[in-house]
Amino acid sequence: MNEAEKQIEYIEEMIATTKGNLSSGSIHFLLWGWLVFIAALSNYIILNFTEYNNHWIPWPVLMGMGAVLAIYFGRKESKESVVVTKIDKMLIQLWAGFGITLAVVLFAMGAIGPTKVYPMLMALYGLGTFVSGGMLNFKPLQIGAVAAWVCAAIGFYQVQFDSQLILIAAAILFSYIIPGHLLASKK
Amino acid sequence: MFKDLDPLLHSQLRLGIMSILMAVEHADFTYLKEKTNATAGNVSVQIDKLEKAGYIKVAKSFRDKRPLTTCKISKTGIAAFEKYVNHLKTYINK
Repeated sequence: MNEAEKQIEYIEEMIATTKGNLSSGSIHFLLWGWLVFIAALSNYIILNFTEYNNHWIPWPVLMGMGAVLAIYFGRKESKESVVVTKIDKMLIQLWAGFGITLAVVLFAMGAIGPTKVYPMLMALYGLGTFVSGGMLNFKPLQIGAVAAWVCAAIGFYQVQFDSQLILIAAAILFSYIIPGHLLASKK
Repeated sequence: MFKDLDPLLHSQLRLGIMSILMAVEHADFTYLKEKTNATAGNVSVQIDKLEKAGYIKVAKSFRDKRPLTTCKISKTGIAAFEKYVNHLKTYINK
């Protein structure tokens, strides 16, 4: 091996040390995964087993809590991180775009109704986790994405609201919670 | 041999720092020190040289009352690095 080849090998070695940073995001998958899961199931329980009219109440309460916690964890992460990789930056862009799309879809709920919006949300979970899984080279996220898309496709035809709550709980379990725990255990 | 190569990049540690910064968005001093396995003093001197050449941008701030030095590669640095690697490749092909 000549000196030029050694230099190239050294460059590759240094670049390789920056890879395998899987710190990106497992806390956020777990946070939102569990909150959406609990919100969907508690909405289902209130709707089917109580007389309480405002059965949707778990959503604003838990999602509001999620927003506060996400900001807290985000700040903590950026304080502690010593490096921001290109993948970290792309993931931030992806999930920021996801958040805005989610807000637009939720805004449309008044016009098109929750039974059309819920399957759209499930399809969006699939998109976010599929692309994240590809960027992180982490298959469980992509398998979870396929499950979320299947739930979304069923949801568009299963128009009963309480069945959709079970579907959204299943979609988030497969696309966020299970891969999120697997990702966290890989660190 | 190697007379056309950028002398600033033809040092092992500076090349290591530049390679890492090519691969990430930005990195702090401690990260660069750990990944290159070099001493703090040496890394500090090389960062200074790369910054003076305009190859990297260095931002100094504080985190939890401790000084924090964050480095990011500049457009000039990317161009110099690419040129250096292309030159190296011509030596390999010879």
